[in-house]
Amino acid sequence: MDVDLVDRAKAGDRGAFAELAASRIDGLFRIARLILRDQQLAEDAVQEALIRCWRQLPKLRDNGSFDGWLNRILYRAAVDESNRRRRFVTTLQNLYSEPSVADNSQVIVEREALERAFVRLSIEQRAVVVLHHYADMPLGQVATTLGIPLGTVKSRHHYALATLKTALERDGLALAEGLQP
Amino acid sequence: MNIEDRVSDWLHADAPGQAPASLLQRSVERAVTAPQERSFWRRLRPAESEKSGPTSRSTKLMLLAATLVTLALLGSLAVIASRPIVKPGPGPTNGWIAFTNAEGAIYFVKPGTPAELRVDVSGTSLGNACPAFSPDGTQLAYGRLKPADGGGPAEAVVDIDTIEAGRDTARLKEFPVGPGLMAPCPLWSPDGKWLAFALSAAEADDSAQGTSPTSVRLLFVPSGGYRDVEGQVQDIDWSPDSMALAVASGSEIRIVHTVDRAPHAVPETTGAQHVSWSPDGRLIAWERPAAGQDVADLVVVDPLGSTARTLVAGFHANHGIGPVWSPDGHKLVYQRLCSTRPDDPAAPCREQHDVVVLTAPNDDWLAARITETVMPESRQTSSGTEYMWPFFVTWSPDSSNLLYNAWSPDIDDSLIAVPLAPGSVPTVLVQSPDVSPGGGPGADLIQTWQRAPVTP
Repeated sequence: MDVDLVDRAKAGDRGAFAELAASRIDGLFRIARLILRDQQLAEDAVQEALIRCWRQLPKLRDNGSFDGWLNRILYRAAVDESNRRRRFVTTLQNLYSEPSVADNSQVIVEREALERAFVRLSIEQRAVVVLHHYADMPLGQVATTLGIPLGTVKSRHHYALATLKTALERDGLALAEGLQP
Repeated sequence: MNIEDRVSDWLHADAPGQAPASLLQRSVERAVTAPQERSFWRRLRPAESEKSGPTSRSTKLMLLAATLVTLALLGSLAVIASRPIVKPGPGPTNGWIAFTNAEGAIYFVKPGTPAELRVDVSGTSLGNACPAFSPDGTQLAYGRLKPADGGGPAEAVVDIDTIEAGRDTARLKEFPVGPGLMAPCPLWSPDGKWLAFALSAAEADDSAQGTSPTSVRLLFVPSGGYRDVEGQVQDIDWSPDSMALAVASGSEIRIVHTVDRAPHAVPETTGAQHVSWSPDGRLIAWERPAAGQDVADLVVVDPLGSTARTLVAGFHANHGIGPVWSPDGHKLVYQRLCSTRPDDPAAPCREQHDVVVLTAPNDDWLAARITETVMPESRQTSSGTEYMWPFFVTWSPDSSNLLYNAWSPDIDDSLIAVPLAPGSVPTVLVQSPDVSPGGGPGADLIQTWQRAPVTP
């Protein structure tokens, strides 16, 4: 944890903020891209998150909680981007809904099925899934990061996985692979 | 393999590698141009690192003295380099009103005082300087045309002057905009950091006339950096958080952002020519013209276009003059052609117009019943009744008065402050052909009412 960098950035040191941003931006971008499923939206969300981070940094009381705090800002920026561009997201969803070309690779077929099902989840459900299954955060930490009750996180996680599982089963993938809930 | 493992595998396989190289640079550049929000909590309670360690009284005094000297030096340098823009204090009060006359000079006036020439830009501007007080009332921005040194088309510039005690004291900044353009009409963002204005090319054979604007410029005042956003522009208004600008293009409302983000159109805003963003940021008011008819609806819509309500339907629109929210957000004023002529009720009414103030209980503009108040269209004088029909209406900073740029069959063009309180008497601020706020070529009847600066 770059406590000193955070402290300097809080005091208005732009160089320190640039260093912080450089060390975090790849992780932020990956999470945003996985949640939003769109390169441009993810870039906009990361940019917006860093702008908010700079502006609100002096209000951060505990430097040690910087990363969780930044992830929460990113999540909110991602939600905002998703809402602002919902018309475009709808278009994107329609494109994803087109039947994909048959492929012999079972892995590719399964990933396409997951992709189609994932974009139908709410942005809030996607965030829980990505933070838990990609960023390897325990659900309690996901709750802290998103600023929502643990029960809500568990509920979103449950329904998200159930939706994904149902989608795979509908495509005949769950039975073929013997998926377990 | 269970569903959780499959999802994890898929996400890890699908995750992108690195962020695009340009993303870091542009994000940091955008971020650090924004001011940081200071925490009152930090001001009151020193951080742990600041409290730790024994410090003698003399050392503390030396540190304090050194800090004060440093702050004084930095303060002086900061004032010289760039005057800080002070945020508005609580409780808006009304200050001076600035307006231009046909010769391009900027006059100041307020109730009880005669109009005085305060900013003389004649000879360099044409007609319309569009004076605009900064939100804290300490600065005045205006557009003008600066003659080129070696001939050729004049250069449009935006100036910012400091205003103290109702006087223009110094030119603080001059921002070149470009040659061959109309004098810009700047609009301050609520935080005083940005100016927005349309870019309009001057006609080749008449520099007082411009073509339709085809882009809007967002100018960051502290640095002079700007971005131009292409597209037709007929009216603009800032969001209260200063992060976005609503642009009425004549065909729709677009939202343009101060950060590098693509504009988006507000759905279902076909034909929008004028916009006014509510002070709480939740709604944008605009007039929806009826195709092929001289009538319009007054509509409020949220910035995403997901919720809308028609407040007034089918009124006779008045030259496309749009609605204006009061600064406190509790009232919305618009103009319509009156239904009957005041001097001949049987005659059709085509020029005289009503000023109508709308209110909504609890500011619930989307659901509550709207109350309509038609303002008096005349005032009584010793010589009888004088009508006062505004070309344009704005508000006083404390939302207690409307400011008319008015005309009448009987008197010269005038500036009139009209209190909203029932039974109150309007105040004529200016009524003289010498300092007429309107009339001249290119004069678009611009006036602005200052929020009185807070005295320390």
